[in-house]
Formats: sequence, C-alpha cells, structure tokens
Amino acid sequence: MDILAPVPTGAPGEVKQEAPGAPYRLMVRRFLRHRLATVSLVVFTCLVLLAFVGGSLWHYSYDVFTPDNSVPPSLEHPFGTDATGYDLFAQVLRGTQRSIEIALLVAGVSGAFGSVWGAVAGLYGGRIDTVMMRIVDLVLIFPAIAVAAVLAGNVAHGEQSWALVGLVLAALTWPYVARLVRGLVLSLREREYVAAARSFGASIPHIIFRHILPNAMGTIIVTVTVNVAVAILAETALSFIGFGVQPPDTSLGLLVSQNQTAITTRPWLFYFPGLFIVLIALSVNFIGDGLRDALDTTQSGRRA
Amino acid sequence: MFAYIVRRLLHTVPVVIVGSFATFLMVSAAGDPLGDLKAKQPPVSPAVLAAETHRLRLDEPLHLRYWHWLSGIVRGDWGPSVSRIDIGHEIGQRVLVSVRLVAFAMIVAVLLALVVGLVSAVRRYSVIDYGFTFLGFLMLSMPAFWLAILLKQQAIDVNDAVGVSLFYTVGDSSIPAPTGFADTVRDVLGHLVLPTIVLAMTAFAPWSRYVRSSIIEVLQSDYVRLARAKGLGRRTVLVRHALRTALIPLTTVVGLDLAVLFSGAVVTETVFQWRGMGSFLLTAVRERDVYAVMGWLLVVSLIVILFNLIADLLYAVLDPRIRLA
Amino acid sequence: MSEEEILRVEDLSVRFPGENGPVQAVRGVSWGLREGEVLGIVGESGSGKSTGALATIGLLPPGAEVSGSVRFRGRELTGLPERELSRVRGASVAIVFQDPLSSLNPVYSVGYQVAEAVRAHDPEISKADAFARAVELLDLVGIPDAAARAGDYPHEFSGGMRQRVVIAITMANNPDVIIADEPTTALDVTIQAQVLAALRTAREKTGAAAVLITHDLGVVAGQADRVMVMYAGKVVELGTVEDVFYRPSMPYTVGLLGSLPRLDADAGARLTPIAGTPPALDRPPAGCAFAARCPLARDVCREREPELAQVGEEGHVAACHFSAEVRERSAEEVFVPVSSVRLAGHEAQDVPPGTPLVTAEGLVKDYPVRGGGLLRGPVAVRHAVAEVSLELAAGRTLGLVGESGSGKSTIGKLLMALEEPTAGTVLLGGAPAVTGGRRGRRGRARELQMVFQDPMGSLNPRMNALDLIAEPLRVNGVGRRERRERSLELLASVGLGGYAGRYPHEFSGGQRQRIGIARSLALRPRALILDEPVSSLDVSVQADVINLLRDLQDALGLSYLFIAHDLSVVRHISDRVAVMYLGRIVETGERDDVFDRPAHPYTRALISAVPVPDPRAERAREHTVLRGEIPGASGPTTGCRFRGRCPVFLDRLGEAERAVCRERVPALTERGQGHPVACHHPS
Repeated sequence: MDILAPVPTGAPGEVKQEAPGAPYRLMVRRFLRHRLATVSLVVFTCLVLLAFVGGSLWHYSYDVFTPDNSVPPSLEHPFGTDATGYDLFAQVLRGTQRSIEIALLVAGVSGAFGSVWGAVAGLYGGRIDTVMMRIVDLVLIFPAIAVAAVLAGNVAHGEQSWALVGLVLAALTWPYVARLVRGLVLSLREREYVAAARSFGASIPHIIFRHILPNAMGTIIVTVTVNVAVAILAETALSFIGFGVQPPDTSLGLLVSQNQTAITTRPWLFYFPGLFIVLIALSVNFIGDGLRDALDTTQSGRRA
Repeated sequence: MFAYIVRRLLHTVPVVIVGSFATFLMVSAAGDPLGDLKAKQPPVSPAVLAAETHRLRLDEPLHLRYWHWLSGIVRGDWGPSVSRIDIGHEIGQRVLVSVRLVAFAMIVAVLLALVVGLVSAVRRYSVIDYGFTFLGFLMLSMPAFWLAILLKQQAIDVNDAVGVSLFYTVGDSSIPAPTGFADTVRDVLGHLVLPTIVLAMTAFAPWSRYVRSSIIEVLQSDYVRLARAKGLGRRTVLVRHALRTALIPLTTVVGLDLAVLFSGAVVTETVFQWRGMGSFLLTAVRERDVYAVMGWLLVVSLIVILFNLIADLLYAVLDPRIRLA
Repeated sequence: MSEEEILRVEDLSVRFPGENGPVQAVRGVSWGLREGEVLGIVGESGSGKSTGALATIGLLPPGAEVSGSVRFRGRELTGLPERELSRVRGASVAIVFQDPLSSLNPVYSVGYQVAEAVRAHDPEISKADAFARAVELLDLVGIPDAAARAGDYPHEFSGGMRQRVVIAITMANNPDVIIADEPTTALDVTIQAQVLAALRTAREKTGAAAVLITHDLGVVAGQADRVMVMYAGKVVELGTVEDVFYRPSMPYTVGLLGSLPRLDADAGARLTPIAGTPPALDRPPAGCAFAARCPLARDVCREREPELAQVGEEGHVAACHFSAEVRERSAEEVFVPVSSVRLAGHEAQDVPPGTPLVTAEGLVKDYPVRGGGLLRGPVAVRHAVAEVSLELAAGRTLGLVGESGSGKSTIGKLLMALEEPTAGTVLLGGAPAVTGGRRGRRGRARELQMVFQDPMGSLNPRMNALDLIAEPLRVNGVGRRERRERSLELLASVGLGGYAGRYPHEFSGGQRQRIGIARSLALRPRALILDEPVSSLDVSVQADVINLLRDLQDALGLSYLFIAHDLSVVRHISDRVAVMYLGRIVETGERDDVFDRPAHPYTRALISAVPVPDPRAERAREHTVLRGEIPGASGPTTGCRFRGRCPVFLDRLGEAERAVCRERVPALTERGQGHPVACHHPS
C-alpha cells in the first residue's frame, strides 16, 4: 500500500477499539481461534525446518551406506535402516525436503498461472473467456496421473528431475485455480465498488490491482495452500508408480514404493515415509482450513 | 433437452480433436518408441529397425501420423503397438474392469458422503461432527497407494489368522475364472471389496464436506424455515426439503471429480495387481507405446465427458430452475 | 374485536452467541395479542422485532437461547418439545416471511408446497384432495388461473405472486394467529398494495388475529389496530395506532415519526433525524438504551432503565422517565435540526441556479434476449430505456421514480457512461459528451458523479476511508499531498473527521453512505446521480443523509438526479419529478404539479398505493389497487405499454378509444395538464 498512511486526527476518544489495519488483525485472530490450524502451522514449520536444516546436521547422509543393515529403530537410527544399510531417517528427511520443494513449486506455479488465466478470462469475458475456459475443461478431462506419467516418466531424469516433475504437475493443476479465480472475478467485477471506480474513469489495471486482486487474494491463498497438500499427494503417487522422482534422488513416494514389500519383514521402512506424507498433507490441509476461516469471506463454513 | 444434448456433443468434437492432437504431440515427443530396441545387445539389424520404423509410422511426418491415427480410430483401427498387442481388443477387455471399480467406488463414496455430510450438518459442532471432520481431513491427506498397501497387508494378516481366504488381495478376478454366473459375480464382487474401499475412502472426503456445507446452508434458508412454520415434522423437513435440495449440486461436483477418480484407480489397481486400465497405461508409457497411450487417453476422456453430460442432465432433471434449451 | 388475549408473551428474552460474547437481541419483552386484532410491531433493523416474534413458536436458528413465557390460549409454548411445537405451527400460528423469493423451495411446485401445508395437520386427507384445496387457496389469494398454475415452480412466479403463495400456505389450516414478518418490504409499492389486500383476505377468511412486523410506519398506520415500538431489544411504547401516532410519549417514537418524509405533507419542512446509532446488544447500556441518542436525556436516564408505564390513555404505555414532557413537544422541539455539513474550502458553482448542466436527448438502451434451440441467437430485444430525454439544472433536483424494471437505474448508468446507449446523446454543459469507454467516463468524471445504492457494496472493504475518498483523485492523476489534503477536508465536511483510518465494516450504514457522498464530491463535479441513496438505510438514518444532501446542494449549488422508488422521499427532495414505466417517462413536471395533480393513470395509482404514516388520513384515502404486474420482455410491444394494467383502459374506455392505446405509443406532450404526460386519455 503506497498510499497515504492513515493519520489520527480529531478527538482521540472518537476512534473506537479497532485501530487502522484492523481487517488484518481480525484475520490473525480468526486463524488463531482455529486450534487445529494453529497446531498444524507449528507442526508444518517444524517439519520444514527438520527437512531443510536437519538433513545437513544429521550424522548420516541419505546416500551413504552405514555399516548397519536392516536395523530396527534405535537411538542410533531413529527410523532404522534398510537392507543395504541406508539410514531411513536421513532418507525420510531428504524425501520430505524433495516432496515439499515439489509441492511448493506446483502450488506456486499453478497458483500464479491459474490466477492470471482465470482473471483474464473472467474480466474480458465474451469469446476470449469461452476459448480460455474450453482449454481449462480440456485439461481437466484427462486423469492427471496419466498425463503426468507420460510427460514426466520419459523426460525427468538427472539432477533437476524433481523440478520437472513439479512443472508437469503444475501444468495439470492450474486449471482448477483458473476456474475458481474466474468465478471469483465474475462476481467481484459486478460489485458496486468496481462500478464506482469505473465511473471515476479508472483503468483496467487499476481495477485489477486495487479492487479485484485484494478482494480475491484471500480465496486464492486458501486454494494455493490446499493445492500444496494436493501436490504432495500427486508427487508421491507419481513417484510411487515410478514416473516421478528418480533414484539416486529420493522422495517420500519413492521410499514407500521401494519398501512396500518390506511391510511384513521390516515394517518401519514402510510406515515412516507414509506417516510423513500424511503428516505433511494433514497439517497443510488444516492450515488451509484455518486460512479459510480467516481470509475467505465467500465461504460460510466458519466454526464457533 | 434434445437440442441441448446435440449442442453439447457438437461442442465435444473440437475438444476431442484439439485435445487428442495436443496429447499426440506430447506423447510422441516424450521419447523414442524404438529406444529399447535400439539399445538391445547385441544390436538388432538395420533392416529390422527400418521395418519397425515403418510399422510404427515413424518415417512419416508428425501431422500425417496424427491424421492416420485419427482416421484409423474412426474406422476402428487403433494403430500399431510397440509390443504388437491389439490395442482396441486389449482396451476393450480392460476398460470394463476399471469402470467397474470406478463406478462402485463412486457409488460407495456418494452414499458415504451423504450420510457423513448429513449427520455432521445436523449435529453441527458436536463431537460426532468434529470426529467426521477429522476423518475427512485424514482421508484427504492419505495417499491412496499407502492406504491400499496398508489395507492389503491387514487383509492378508486376517486371512492368515483365520486360515481362510476371507479377502481377495490380488487381481480383479480369480484365475482360472470360476464357472457359473453366480460364482462369477461373487468372485468379481469379492475382488472389488478392498480396492473399492481404498478408492471410496479417498474420494468421499471432499464430497462429504461439500454435502455438509450445502445442507447447513439449506437448513438456514427461508424455505426450510417456512417448511417448519407449516408444522412439518423434523424428519420430513430434513429429508424432503434439506437433503433433496442440497443433493442437486453434488451431481456436478461428482461429475467433475471423475477424472480424479480414474487417477486414483490407476494407483489402486497397481497395488492390487489388477489387469485393468492402470497397468495397461503404465506398461504403455514405459514402452513409449504412442498409440496405446493415445487409445487409453481417448477412451478414458470420452468416459469422463459422457459422465459429465449425464451429471448435467441429471441436474436439470432434479432442478426445475434449469432449462436445458 | 374482543378483549380476550389469545397470545400472551411475558418477559421474553433471546440471546445469540456473538463474536464479542452473547448478543441480547430481545431483552424482556411482554405483550399480548387480542382476538381478531392486528398488532403492528415497528422498529429499525436490529431492534429485535422479528426475533421476538419468531421466538414465540420456536423458529429461531440453533444457538438462540430463549427465556420467558409464551402462552397460546393459556397453553405454555416455551420449552415444548419440537414435535409438540410443530403441531402448533401452521395450525394455530402461521407465518409469512419477508423475502418471497427465498421462502419457497425451488424444487417443488407451488401447488405441492401449499398441499403439503394442508396435509401437515390433516394426515387423513388424500393427496388429490389436498391439492384441490391448494388450488382453492391459491385462487383465494388472487393467483390468476390457479388450477393451471399450481403445477408451476416458484421461479416461474414474480415476487408478489410468490408472496401470495406463502399467504395461501398460512391460510391452509385456518390459524388463529398470523405473524407477518416484513411481508412487503421486498416488493414494489403497487405490488405491496396487492399483497396487503391478500393478507387482509386471509385474515377475514380465517378470522385470525395478526402480528404485522414492519419498519414502514405508513403500512402500520393503514393496517394495524395497535402498535408496539421496539428499540434495542425492548418495547419502548405500546398503544392504539392513534395514541402512538398522534400522542407519542417516548422520544424515539417522536423521532421516528419526525424523520419520515411524507407524501402528503409540505415538502419544505426539514426532517428531524435521530443522531447516532442503536447500541451494540453484546454490551447493552445500563440505563435507557436510547439515552445516548436522546436530546432530552439526563443523568437518571443513563443510570436507571425506565419501566413501561401508562401515559395518559388507557392501554397506552411508554418507557421513558420524562414521557409527560415528551407528549408536550413536537419532533422539531425534541430533535432540533442542525446542519451537519461543515464546508471549508469548497466553492459554490460559478453558474446561476437553473442553468442546464447535463442534458440527455432520446436515450435508448436495448438488451438482446437469447433464445433456445441449436444456435441460441438473439430472438428479441428488451427495451430497458426508450427515448428518454431529461435535463439536470444547477442547484436543482430532478426526482426519477419508478418501480423495479422501469429502467430508472439504467438511465443513471447511461449518463455515467457505465453502459453504452443504443441511441441518443448526452450533452455536458451544452457540448456533446464522448459516448462510451474509459475516455467517455474520464471526461464525465469531473462534471458528473454517482452515489450508489448499497453503501457497503460500493466501498471496497480492503480500503480505509481516506483511500476510498482519495481514489477518484488518484485515478485522475492528482498528486499525493493534494489528494490527502482534499480527502481529509471532504471527510471532515461530511462529519467523519476523525475516522480516516477506519475500514468500511467499522462504520454504520449512514456513515458509509456519507463516505460515498464525500467520494462523489472529490472531483468537484457539478452534478450528482444519486441511485437510491437512502433505500437501504433505516428511517432515522435516512433523514440524516437526506438532510446532508440538501445542505450540500445549498452550499455547492449541485444538481441532483435523484433516482428512487420511494415517492415520499422523492417528493421531499425534488424540484422536478419524472415518473417512469417500462423504460419510458410517462409523466414529468414540477414536483407539486405531478404529486397534487397527477394526470397519468400510472402516476395516480402509484401515489395512491403509497401508505401515509397518519392513521386517519391513510384510512380515509382512496386506494387504486393496480391489477397485474410489470410485464417482462413478454409485455405488449406496440402502443401504450401500460394498458394491460391501466384502470382507465380496462374499465372506462370505449372500444374506439382503446384502439388508439393499442396502436400508437403515446408521446410525452403537454395535454392541458400543465405538464407533459404520455397518455392518450389523461385525466
């Protein structure tokens, strides 16, 4: 907000309990009232720290053999080791890092692209809208995992394969964002304050950046957050069927896939990576729910 | 109504053509179908390579290849396969297996969503509502493959403990297939149980949230208030006015989620080793079998389009405000 | 009417959970309803009038805590289980809700929904018989061709017709009490007259007593026997209509009556708004809830809550420590009107009053109507505005009245270049304006500005008051410092000096509209288009905004186009008036000419349908209830478009005279009435 800062003028007693910027303070209050969301935010922050910082501090690396083969969880190896002697804790940390990186990439790219796409379609309307939304429908017809497998399975090799996996998944999730944002823009552009701005002679960029976007932002943020969870699940599923992240790199889905036969003999190998997936997705989903309470005025699902 | 259906189907034609061309480019660019053959040791003779190149139409320019595929489809020719399978025949056999799973899971998930959504909405902010909400979020955060493996292992453990094969954990039907209609049905249904649970559990969560919020909205509506003011009983108001009206938009949501359900089916089938569309796709992708992948995408996307059309028609039947003209 | 009470409410309280603790929507209310009478409950939004009535038969949303006692014919209703209560609902006490558009379930036919009410208390009756009874009831409330239309769905009916269906539902079981919760608020005035007539039929057929909840004092004056005034969850005055209207004994009632513009009164008189807003009910004040807004309040008012006590007449009670004093004074003496405008640094217009500033000539706006079929091409056009010409003059107000669908708001948009006219021109200061697009709007922005109907909707919730007012300046390239100075000055001039940093949700409705007005003045326009600027506000606040508009006009010499459906407000504020029907101006002229000597049958009917807040005058007036409703695109396309509802055409004209109405569109011309009328047979 580059415009003039609010100034306290007039009698001091006149301005009541809520100070300037009150809408944002109210949002924080609403979010904190959602206890699961608050807890989830803490959990998710810890997971991110653990994955991105903890990995380099831990005394085993995910790609270095240890002398211990098939050791159940212990102090030395909190999550145990696999048959070849890899330390699972190090691997899970590395996998968590990859999975979160990919999910953030997917949510960010699809959120940005989808928002712009949907906003343009909604604002311009008419034939442009028809063609743009037809393309959205087209992408949504195909089961994402099939297209992702086709694309990623044969393209994604080497060092940067995780980024390619992320881009492929983003290419398949943006239409959801686009459709949502278009609906939002269609309703926002009918608001009287947009008509008012038009009546002053406001330009389209002014209307987009001062009126549409600030009011659409809440819903977009909620959607992007929930998409992080969706992306985590998509990435792990893709890696599970063998078309996602490729060894020697690792991801949580790949770990489950590699260890699925070990469920009876060395169950820890199967459970830990899976639990991490659930934990990440669950905390992100709850954060999204809390954000919906706080930001999204269009949804009525507020809890008491 | 008829004009609407015709118009919708006419809209579908350019979508299918543009969509299939885009995917054709994509699939063709994804890799060399002869990559495995060329990498063979000892190397295969150039003559064999040339023959394969010709058989897979790789000697033609891309747009001609697409044109041949498209005109072939219209005639019922699905194109050559790298692994020399009859694509049309193979898909025909497998599509029923997968559609069976998706359809069953959809029905179970819808029923589950209705019950859970209704109970949560009526008992809002109660322990049971919070319980269902948490379960919903848990299922929303559960990778299908992990749940599938978990469930499969539990079933195997139960089978071992009981000493009888209570649950089928492998395949879509027994091999050799049982004889007799009743036995076949029982066998197929038995194999459906676990995969259906997995798919339904992962699909029902968002739907139940949707049912919950739309019933809550309807319960606060003026017409439900008027129905109560008439003196109708609680159950009548709930079923006749709230549930009936809240149901309508669910048809659209379910229709739109069908593609997602097929994605889930691919993974679930893999875990339970079904010979359905899932393993067909994965094999085709691994072998860079362009025409097989194209056939898969064509069939599945047509199914999705068809279901969406049905969902829209159903909506119009249920809601008198919608006129499909 | 007997003195026997069939419904007795004693010390009823309702609490809702709220963001800052429980909200006490109703605080210890006691009243009785006598056999066969109509009890009017009036009050502004948030006064608890609807909540209190709905609580009597347990129709409040979950979460509401109700205490106190409600006895129906001596039987206690509070605390009854849902099953028992549902036997009372509909059968003994029936309800009509405010919004007919959402009161009926969209997926069932109206006949089914009426029959459902019949069957709810008579399980023996067969479905076919119940349906036949439903058709009978629909016919009774005036649904034309009821037998054929009973199978239609709610969306195929207009708002007025749907409200009749709801009334048919209330009649289904011959209830003893009908509670009508703002039954006509959402409806146009000619439709309101029809629905009130249907409600009267319902009362007569069933012999029920009625509770009529409304904010419209005119409706109460015409319909009710006794009135109860509510404020901040309490009853503040109760008595016969005459007692309350002619001898108000509580300052709030006095203020309410004084803040109301009257269709039948001298328009020059200044309204007496009640300053401030009702208290928040999550922390009700210790003393009299009205004390903060009451000019007569003394220390005792802020310390001790006044009890309801008899004032003068038998059965007339008021809750005021100084009711005897109040009875002696007029509204002007209680609420001394003061100018709320503080203008500094504004300059008046440089043109003499009466100079034409904005002229519209032959404005036409058509919208295509899409058809079905394979290609869905446009099959028809809807004429939203047809050949409208008007002139806005410096220092003057043109009132544009009409019901929904008359095209009055479209004219505002055409003048602002928010819509492209199909034909016609707009002249600004005598020169043709660029017609459309952003350039057109920019050119106009400095001449002409608009104030919108919904003060909440027209203010971006993410901007504070200062940014909101500065926006037109910013858009038009005014520098930062100047922007800020001018905005602060404007904010102060509408009486909101200290609130620059606040956001829209922190203001009351009236304050928001003040911000909207300040914003419209930012570019120093010569003329304002006011599109229903007060229709979403409560009466007392409405008066405040009207006074503000008048003061601004006097100080700045502004020209107003005042678009409204409320004839009383238009009469109060306008110098000239134009009446619209289906896109055309049917009558226009000096205000008193049009209101005192209306010549077009539509204008006459419209004026007669507006209830006047004066029981004796209202009951003595002659009411013409127009038949039918404003037709949509399907209405007559040739000749006079009003003829389908026109009492003159339908009842008084001969065949030869009717032919003229059928064939020729009446032009807006002077026909010896002293002002132009678009009617072939004006009176």
